[in-house]
Amino acid sequence: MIEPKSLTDEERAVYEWQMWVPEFGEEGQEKLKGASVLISRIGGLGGVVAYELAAAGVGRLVLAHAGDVKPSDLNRQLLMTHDGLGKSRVESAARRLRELNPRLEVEAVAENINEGNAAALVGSVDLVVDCAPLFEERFQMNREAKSQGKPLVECAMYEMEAQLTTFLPGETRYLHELYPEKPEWWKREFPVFGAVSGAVGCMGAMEAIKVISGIGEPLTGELLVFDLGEMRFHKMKLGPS
Amino acid sequence: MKVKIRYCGQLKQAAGCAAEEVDPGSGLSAQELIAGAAARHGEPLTGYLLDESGRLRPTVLAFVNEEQIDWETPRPLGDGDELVFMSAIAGG
Repeated sequence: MIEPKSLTDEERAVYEWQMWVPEFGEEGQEKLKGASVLISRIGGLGGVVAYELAAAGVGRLVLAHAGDVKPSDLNRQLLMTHDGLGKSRVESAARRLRELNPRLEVEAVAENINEGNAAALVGSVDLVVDCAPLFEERFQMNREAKSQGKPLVECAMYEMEAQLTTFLPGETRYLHELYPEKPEWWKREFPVFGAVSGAVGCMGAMEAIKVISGIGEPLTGELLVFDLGEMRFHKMKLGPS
Repeated sequence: MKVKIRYCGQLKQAAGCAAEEVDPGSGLSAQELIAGAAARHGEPLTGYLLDESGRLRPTVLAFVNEEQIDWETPRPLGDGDELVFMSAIAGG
């Protein structure tokens, strides 16, 4: 349960423009400040989600991503830097987020989601954003989110395409129910532009903001699919079972 | 009767095209059209779309006119319908 937190004068100044959005206001901002979100991983997709949620004033982010920055990360992982090559990804991400928002509470976990940590990590937040490249991790996050009654924003991408939906407890299926099996052909490394991960990452952040604050209409029961090669956008209605 | 088929994700490469228009004849269901598309294109699309028993793989979603279809419930097609196949993709 999110406990809204009252704003300081500094926060009112920082978030002024978004508090002007109809139906959001100071009440919505207080909900963001009181919310905590798990994002894994924090690469091309998750990094942009994290950056936008930090910018929007979410109170606490839990970032889960193992490993160090590699050259091939830098076409899309906007929280990483050239100077950070060979150094911890989550530490780089945490530092960059705090530079933007020093009020943000960041918990940096240098692990990918697995059976051993999923329950505790999901249990420590109000909402999960799934940005992981491997289906084992995605299914683990989804099983825990469903089991614990947590909303989950699901982001995915490939080449110039992306998919986005939001799972809500008691209202929608979760990923492991939508896709009961892992696709055997899926590889961790795949073709994609940073602009594609950035686009769907921003949209994923907006889904999280909507769920936390109660504004707008999250993509529940719907799958947004877009192809930036053709600039084609569709909202597909997901079946109940 | 014309029906458009659109392939998303890795299915695009497997089909060798992003979209195609077919004239399946009247009375065909989406399920029958899927089987026909797989047979027409052969491998690797067949392997992506259908399992050994000829059913749609659980890693593929199929939509007619932007609504997901249930493989167990035959979905009749009409002129101008659009059938979309979407493979499961992930983050990174």
